[in-house]
Amino acid sequence: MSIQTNDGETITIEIMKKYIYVFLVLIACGMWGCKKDYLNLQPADTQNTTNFFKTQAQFVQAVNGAYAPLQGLYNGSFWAMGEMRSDNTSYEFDPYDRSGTNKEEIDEFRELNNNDMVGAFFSASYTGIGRCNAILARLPAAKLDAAVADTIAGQASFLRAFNYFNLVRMFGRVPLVLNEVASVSDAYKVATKAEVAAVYAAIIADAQVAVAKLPVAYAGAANKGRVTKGTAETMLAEVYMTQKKFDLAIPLLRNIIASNAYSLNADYADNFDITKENGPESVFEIQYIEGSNGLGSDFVDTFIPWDYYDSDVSGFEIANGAQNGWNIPTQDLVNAYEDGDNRKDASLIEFTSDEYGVDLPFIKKFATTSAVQGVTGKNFPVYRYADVYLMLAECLNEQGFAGGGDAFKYLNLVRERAGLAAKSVGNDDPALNISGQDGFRTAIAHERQVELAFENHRWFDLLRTGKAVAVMTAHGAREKAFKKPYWNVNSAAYSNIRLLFQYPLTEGTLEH
Amino acid sequence: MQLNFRGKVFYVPQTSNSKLFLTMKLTVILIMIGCLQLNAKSYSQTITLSANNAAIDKVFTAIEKQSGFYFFYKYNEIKQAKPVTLSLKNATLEQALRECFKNEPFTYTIDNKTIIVNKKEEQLVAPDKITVTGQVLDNTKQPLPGVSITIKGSNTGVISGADGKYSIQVDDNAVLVFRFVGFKTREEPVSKRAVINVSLDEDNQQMSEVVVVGYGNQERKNVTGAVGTVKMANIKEIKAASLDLKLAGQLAGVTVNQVTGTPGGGVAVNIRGAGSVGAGDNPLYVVDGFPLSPGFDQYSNPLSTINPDDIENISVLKDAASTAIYGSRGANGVILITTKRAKKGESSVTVNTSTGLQSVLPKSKLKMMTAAEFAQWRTEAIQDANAVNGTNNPIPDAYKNPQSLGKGTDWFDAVTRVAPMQNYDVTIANGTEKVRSLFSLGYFDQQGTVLNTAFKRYSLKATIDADIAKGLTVGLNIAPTYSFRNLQETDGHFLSAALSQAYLESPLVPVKQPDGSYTNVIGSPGTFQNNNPVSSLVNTTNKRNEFRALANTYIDYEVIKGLNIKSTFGVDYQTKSQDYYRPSYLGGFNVPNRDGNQQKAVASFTSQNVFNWLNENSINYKKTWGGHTLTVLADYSIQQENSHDRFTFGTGFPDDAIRSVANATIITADAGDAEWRLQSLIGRVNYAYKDKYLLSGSIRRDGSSRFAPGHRWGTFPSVSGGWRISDESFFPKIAAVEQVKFTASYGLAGNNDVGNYDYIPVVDVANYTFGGGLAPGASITDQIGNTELGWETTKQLDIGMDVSLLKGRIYLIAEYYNRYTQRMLQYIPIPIVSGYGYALSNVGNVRNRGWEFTLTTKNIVERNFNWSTDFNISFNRNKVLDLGPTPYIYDAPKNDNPTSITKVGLPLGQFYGYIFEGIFQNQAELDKYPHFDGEQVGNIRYKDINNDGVIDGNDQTNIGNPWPKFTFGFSNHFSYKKFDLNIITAGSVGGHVFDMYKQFTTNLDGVFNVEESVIHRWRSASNPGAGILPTTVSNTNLARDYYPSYWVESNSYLAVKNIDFGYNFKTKFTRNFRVYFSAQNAILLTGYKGGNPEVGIDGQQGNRSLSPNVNFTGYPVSAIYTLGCNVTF
Repeated sequence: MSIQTNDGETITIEIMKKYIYVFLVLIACGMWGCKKDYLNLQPADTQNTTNFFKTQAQFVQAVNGAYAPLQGLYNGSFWAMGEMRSDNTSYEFDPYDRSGTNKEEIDEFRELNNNDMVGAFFSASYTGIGRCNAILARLPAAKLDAAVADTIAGQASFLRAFNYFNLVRMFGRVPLVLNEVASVSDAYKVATKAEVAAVYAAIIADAQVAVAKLPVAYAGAANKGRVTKGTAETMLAEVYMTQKKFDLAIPLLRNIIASNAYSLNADYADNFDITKENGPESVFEIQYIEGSNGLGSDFVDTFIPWDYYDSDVSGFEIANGAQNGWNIPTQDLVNAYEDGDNRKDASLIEFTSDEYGVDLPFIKKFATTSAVQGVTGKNFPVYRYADVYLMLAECLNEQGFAGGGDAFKYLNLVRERAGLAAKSVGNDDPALNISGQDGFRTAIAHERQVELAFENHRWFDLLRTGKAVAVMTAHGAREKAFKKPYWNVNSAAYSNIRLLFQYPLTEGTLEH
Repeated sequence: MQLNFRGKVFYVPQTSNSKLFLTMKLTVILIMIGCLQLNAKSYSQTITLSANNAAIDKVFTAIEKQSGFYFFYKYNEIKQAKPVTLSLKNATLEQALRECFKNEPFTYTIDNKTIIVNKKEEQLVAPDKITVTGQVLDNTKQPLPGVSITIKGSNTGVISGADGKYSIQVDDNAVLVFRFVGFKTREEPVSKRAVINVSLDEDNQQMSEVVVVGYGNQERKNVTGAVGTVKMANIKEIKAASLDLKLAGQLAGVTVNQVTGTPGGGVAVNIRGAGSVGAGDNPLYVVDGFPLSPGFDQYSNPLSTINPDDIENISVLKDAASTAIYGSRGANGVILITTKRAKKGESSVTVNTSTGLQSVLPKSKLKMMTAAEFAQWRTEAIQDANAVNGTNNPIPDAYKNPQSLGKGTDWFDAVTRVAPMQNYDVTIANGTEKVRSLFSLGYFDQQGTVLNTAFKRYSLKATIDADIAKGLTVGLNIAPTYSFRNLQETDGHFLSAALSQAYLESPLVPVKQPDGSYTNVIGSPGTFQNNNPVSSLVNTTNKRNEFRALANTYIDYEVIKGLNIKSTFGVDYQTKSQDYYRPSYLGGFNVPNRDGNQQKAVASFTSQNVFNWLNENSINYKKTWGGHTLTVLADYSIQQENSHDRFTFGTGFPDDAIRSVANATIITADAGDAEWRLQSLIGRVNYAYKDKYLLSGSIRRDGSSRFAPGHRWGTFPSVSGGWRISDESFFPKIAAVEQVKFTASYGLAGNNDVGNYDYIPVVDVANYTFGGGLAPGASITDQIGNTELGWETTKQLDIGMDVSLLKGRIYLIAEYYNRYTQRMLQYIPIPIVSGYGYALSNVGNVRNRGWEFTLTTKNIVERNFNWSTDFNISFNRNKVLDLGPTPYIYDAPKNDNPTSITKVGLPLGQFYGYIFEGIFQNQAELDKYPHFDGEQVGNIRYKDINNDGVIDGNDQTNIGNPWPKFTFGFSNHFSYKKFDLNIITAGSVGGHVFDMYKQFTTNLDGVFNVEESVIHRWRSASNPGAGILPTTVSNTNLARDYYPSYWVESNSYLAVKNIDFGYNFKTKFTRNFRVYFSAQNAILLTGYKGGNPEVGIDGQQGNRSLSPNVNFTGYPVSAIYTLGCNVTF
């Protein structure tokens, strides 16, 4: 600033004016903030429930999102509670890394009400239900193409029913939430346990909507893995069977067969070949893909014994610790395979533990390699067409034993694919002879055990057929005897065989 | 209009004037050496000049040439000057000017190097010049040398000599001003006296100390709220990356916990206990009026980007009456930081340098087993198992001869080191009447005591304040810093944290192989096979650099006397980037790299930039009449922050040659953008009557974009009052009692330190896959939106008393407060069956109440020896009164089972676990007491809390209180002749740590190395050990996963935070030269054995209140020994 000295007064005033303008500009800037919506900000990188749920694309995204919790459920807890709980699998005791006791407890019926595996199952199921509720609540107001709206409603209804069906079988009485929860106070209001019958009624209602609205198949390979009419019919049939309403299940199962949408793979092992996923036999499977997008599965490693040091199964040497060695097939299951059953080699890998010097086979069904450890694209099967056959055979038998009837036909279709001889009435081979309704029940139970091994059916089958306590008590005694020489078996193992899991502790404290 | 125009002429020296220029430079240097509050006194040039009836401007030119000073005058006026006749030989500038102006109708003033000439005011009769002499004494009648004596309203003056005597030429009606540091300034009208002897009173600094409060300053005696100030001189020599670390023990009610030793890492500061639960509980930091955004964690600290040497003053606002003016963000207290600015008449160059060494405190280190002990322990464990199970497992060869193994590898020592630290700082201040400027340059370099960790900071600061026209002041302060961190994942769980891993590695394995390469797989029979933590630290790249510029401008206009309008605009700009690369050959914990390519290399690049601006517009009016003083403030402000984060992750590297995401074959990315805005209206009135009755009221209305429509605006009023009872006529006149003042305040403050969009029910990405391809998905999230989300409010009552005794030799502040944090912003768990997991809501009520005492005493005040003491002690009690619909809040810092529970009726964040009742010594005991299914003799007996005969999750309970009964600080300052000594101590009594890391360091499975104390575990009924640790034979998980109450340990401690010992002297060229030695954190007295007693880690929601003092091991805290010097020119 250079200043002439001869007219100071004027200059001063000029300077003052200038600064006063600066003041005014600054204050004006400040007042700009007074705009009415100055404080109204929306996140730039996420959407929210007020601007979402409008377009068809958004509903498709929402329904895709409703499938997502299934990935964690099947990767995380379901195998422990649906399979390892049963007589099919157990675990390899790790005396060094003792951080896996939560899973050991589930296997041995020792878990407490704060078991985190059980809690995760519970919360993943209700997360899925909440997403379905949001979709179903907002769908009627959206203006979508009717056919698309039907598939959206069908999928959401199916997924909601599916989650409730799992919950009611695991926990018995659970809260039945069928509306979108809109406020914090409502969240507390809905948390009241409903009767089991009410939950089943809701499951059936949802499943019927799904059966009515879902297509038999979707156009385009990019939709492979979505639930279809056949998926809904399979689930609804299983629901009816659980309720002993076999007469209602039969038409559904027959309808699936009549749709000609499915067929058995010629080779049993093809069901578990990662290159042949979502094949002709697949009715419903949980989808995973390899890669860095967080949609992969890692149960392949989980099911490998912790002292298995080769890297041939998943392409990586596993960590030597409690994250491995679970869902190990039991001697009972290994013994259940008949000689010549080609499903055994497709399902198991024989292995002798370095640590214990004892045979501890492990699951082969899911073995696959991946570029990055723990991120495989291995899907998890939920319903296969073979299951539909076995369900129908069971229902028909329950409706009345008929030697040589359709029940035998479907049972033997499954057996023959496994390379086994057909069973029949009056067979010369006692192992293949079925003499009556009870005999057929035993045959179906056996067939389901080996056909669907490790696919999270065994525990539900034991529950459904009322055999859980008897089978598990006998199994527990054999397990303890088998393990005793090798490791310190908990004295309380298998001593409290129970049908339901305890209601999660933290959830219980929040409910009325 | 009285014209007193002042301008400034910039002189451009011509080449021919190089000699003059040289002289000028010399002058500048001399001025600096000469310490000039008084500019004119030591102009040493002499002037030789004779003139006969010369035009005055010609004389000016001649004087300009000889002196290097410039005249500034109005041409129209100078035309009226009489011709000048004079004859000078080697005259001083003053003499020359005096002669020159002798008979002229002009006056002159000297401003820096400018001589400003003004017309003499007509009505004034030219006074006579007289010479005044006298002596300055202190109140003990000792002569005071070095007192500055100036003529009021001018820059001329002298300094008293060694005998306190002075002599000055003044007008006979002038007023002399006597100033001396540490004494009260005294004014003495000359009134034609030739001899003026004065005695100066010692200044009671506590009372007249200027306290920075929100939006202004107050003298301590007029403060009615609870405001603590830090004596910067006391903590100057504490070397720390950020100033918060220096505050430990300095203030009542302010707890400072160094939760990690990470250079430049976060520090946990709580003011008057923990209030907020879900929202952040950090105090608000306000730097030069600019509120900073929080962002503390183990590895970063926003305050580390501010050079502590640039800080002039720190005030801590504790009660609601003081913090309400920061309404929105004041609920957890406010720390006001004022950086240095030059003062009028100040001219100095200060250089601080220091260099030091840091070494890990021996107390920070756990005592782990040596190789011999480890082998012995493993051998015994196998023998015990064989005995109980009837097995015959062999002892591995590696363990067969324990004694031959000796100490083995001490992995903690291997990952730590003695590390250097250095600090350089130059500050140049120059203040004239019109323009005051300060520049500083700083460099701070702290190498970490953990390998390959460091923090460096380059800082710059420029401050200019200028009076550009009458009543108009503008200023600019800009402080850019560039900091650089070498980080490593040091703190936390062993799966990732190198330091935790180091404790757990087998001592049998050497760090390096005979060929000098790192041992690749660390493990012994039965243990986890791990990566090498030394190699991980050395070979992992994790560099973060950060640029931050804090800039502030203001313009202040005094419209009429007492009425100021001020507008400020400030910017806080930060940009950070971080490069991470972990090579493929390292492997991981329990996932060693056996074959060299098992683990893939991973890399990431993250960047963030944050732009935050603030505009404040205020009107301040101050009026004094009679005994009344009224101050009124009104302010309108808006603040806004935009932040952008970008993340890039890479994997699938072909090799480790290029350590950059650029070389990755699989690259994924993520991004985040956020913004918040705040709009505020502020008003405050202070009224005082004769400094006896003090009254203050403030109100702030804040609108925050973070809350739901209809709930965005919050109003935060406060009132406070003070009564100086000692000024009342009825108060007995006791010489010993100088002052007694009572204060009381009540007010509301708010908190909005939550996520930017938490009220909005978000629809987030939830992809799935169909047909082998990605199917984009979206879904509601775990957090339910809350359309009623609003402000958290803190109500606080404060009653205080200030007592000053013996002329300020003893100054006591006692305070009681009661603070309720209501409508708490907290993340509450909601029933999962709703489809959501949690919500942010306004529920609950937490009370903090307590007492605080601050005592400052000057124990000895002698000419040669001084001793003063600062002592403070705080008692805070915290209690949860209400949590709304949720009965408990569980929290765990590391996503494990909950370590802490918050429930109604108890203080926040109580440790949570099972009560340990001993070890089952025999079958009879096992049969008698309830136990977990499958428990055996030698296992832990837990208490059956609910007496249902079963031990299960319902038997978990609160097992310890983290919060201390009281905390204190105790500092002593001594000076003897030229020596000075400061000792700062701080302590905490009655608090506890939950040593979660015991689940690994006393893990009985044999997969880790363990603490030496594991030797004393239960082995058999006849060999029961110390009665704490159970058998290795069975159910070892019980002692680990079911948190036993013996992990709760007292963390009471007394820490000598700093000792610094200095020697001061003067040289020809310096005003002051101080050399010192300081020892920081060198002494720690505590019974706590888990390492750092101040340990803690951020909870899941980034909040420490819900799970404080949970130890997962952390970066060790170091003792720092420093040698340094401070030089003032």
